[in-house]
Amino acid sequence: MNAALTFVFGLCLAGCVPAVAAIGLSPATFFLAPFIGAASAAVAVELEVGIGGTMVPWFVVVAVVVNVLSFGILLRRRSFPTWEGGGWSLLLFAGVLGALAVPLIGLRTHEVGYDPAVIWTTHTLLISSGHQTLVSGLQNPVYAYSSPSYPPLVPAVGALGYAFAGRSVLVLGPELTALLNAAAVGLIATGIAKVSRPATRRGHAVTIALSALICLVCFGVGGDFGVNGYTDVLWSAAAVGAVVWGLVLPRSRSNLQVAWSCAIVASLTKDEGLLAAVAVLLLIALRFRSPLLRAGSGDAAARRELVSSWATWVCMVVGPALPGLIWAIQIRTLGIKSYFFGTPQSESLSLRASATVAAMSHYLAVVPAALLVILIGCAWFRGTRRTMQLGHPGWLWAAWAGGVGCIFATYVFGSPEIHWWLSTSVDRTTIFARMLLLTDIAIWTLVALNGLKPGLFEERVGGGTGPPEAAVTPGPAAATVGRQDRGADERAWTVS
Amino acid sequence: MLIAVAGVTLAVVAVLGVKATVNEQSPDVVSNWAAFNARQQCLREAITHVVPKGATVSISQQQNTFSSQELGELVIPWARPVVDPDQAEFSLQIVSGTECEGSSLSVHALP
Repeated sequence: MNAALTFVFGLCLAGCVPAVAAIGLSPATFFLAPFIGAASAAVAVELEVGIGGTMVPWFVVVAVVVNVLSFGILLRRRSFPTWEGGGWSLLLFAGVLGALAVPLIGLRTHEVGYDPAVIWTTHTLLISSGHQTLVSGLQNPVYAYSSPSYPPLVPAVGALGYAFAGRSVLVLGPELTALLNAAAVGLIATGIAKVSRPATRRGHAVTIALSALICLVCFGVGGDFGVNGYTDVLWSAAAVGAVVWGLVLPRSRSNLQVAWSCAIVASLTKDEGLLAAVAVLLLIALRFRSPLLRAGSGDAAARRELVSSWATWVCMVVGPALPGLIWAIQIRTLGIKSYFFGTPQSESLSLRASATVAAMSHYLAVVPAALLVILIGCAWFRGTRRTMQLGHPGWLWAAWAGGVGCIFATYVFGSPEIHWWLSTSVDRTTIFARMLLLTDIAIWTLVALNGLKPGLFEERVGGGTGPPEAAVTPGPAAATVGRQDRGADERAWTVS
Repeated sequence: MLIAVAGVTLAVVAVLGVKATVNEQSPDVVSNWAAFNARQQCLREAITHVVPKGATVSISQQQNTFSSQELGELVIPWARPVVDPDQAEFSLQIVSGTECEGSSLSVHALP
């Protein structure tokens, strides 16, 4: 109950207006709002570490600033967003909520894993105790093995819960993490619902069923980690959400903002999340505004255009990654080193690499099925996918390779004994890879249905005047992007 | 073909996930987790009752690595663990006992 109250009044309320300003009123808004609230809490911890004081007043300051800015954006538009999609949209929301309720039944057992009970609860108590205790605690050498470098989003949300309910209810933190997991998975599900536009009742029913199914699938991949306070499902689902909204759905300002929000949450949740988020942000920036590779001509205007294209691209990567990068810089400034890179390795790189491949492949049994699906999809439904204006499938697989590559490199170049390290973590660190491929399978299912049953879904029109995605991605010519009005608050980005 | 492969894959993962959730509801699992949570909460409360806030403490090495690391994590929001026992006011150790679900906190004031 305390967790639900904190979630609704602390996180959803703080993120409500910014979420509406970002994507209007739709089912996704309800899942985006707690994300924005949670990110605000994490930024408040960065201010607690950097400036002083305690987290809650900083959270109020950050939430007020973000809300005032968002309210200003809404006022400038002079038209308040209305509910998108009518009754079917409400049914989608209900279907996704119903599916999310099934795994959340696990909260009844009050299961709290070792890391959440000890590492994350301790971080939460440190944050809750104020600047002095937090900084001296993180810097304490006796505490160095307990991953003091981990980003602050999850303990920040827990500390907000303690401010509401008191510090005696330690299970509050893990419960809030489970609710954030549900929000992240809800964003994936509502993203999948936007892959196609149903034209008939059956089309709507199929879309809702698939969105609900992906909720069960994502929590199925997470297993116990979805409800016992571990943060791996959160960063993984947030990163997958960033891929769906930023690299799969048609390019639009609102989709981009959801993708950025997801990437910010992933980067502030765990070290692996920061690596995956940066990889995904690089790809999103390339997809939306790839920089010019050379000036069109030798004159000053062309050179300025070249510099400007690179500056925009860098801003699109660094801007959303900034909260996560600031935490990494703060940790380094405080002299805190990651436990995973602190001591010399005892094994050769080849031994570590082969052990990592063996362990990861055990958890990536979904790869053959995903490859089969993409092969069939590219052979028979590539044209359908183009008309749906979805991102080229290569984007999603590039994000998958980037995420898996970062995890692989961490194992190979990290310091703990590799077999112990893999046995205690590889089931969690591969959640992102599994979840992303299963999401890809769900997306291809909708594409295939679109191709096989033409009357089931509408053809995407309006913002869909751009050339097919495949023609856009490789060339620097895609850098010039124009906008076309597509709705009250949504602007489609199309290649001019 | 695509829809068949996709449907089977998604359905298998979803069903296994739901089954795992159902299995977690068994009375044995629930009572095990309740005991684990109660132990953690009890040890944290014991620390705050016995050790003055901000005191320097040494984590005894006469216990296994797991217990000493666990104790270091539990104590740090309240007291200040130090590496050198000569600089500590108290020595802490998790021992077998009855107070905290099979464990007890042993605290010795150091001279």
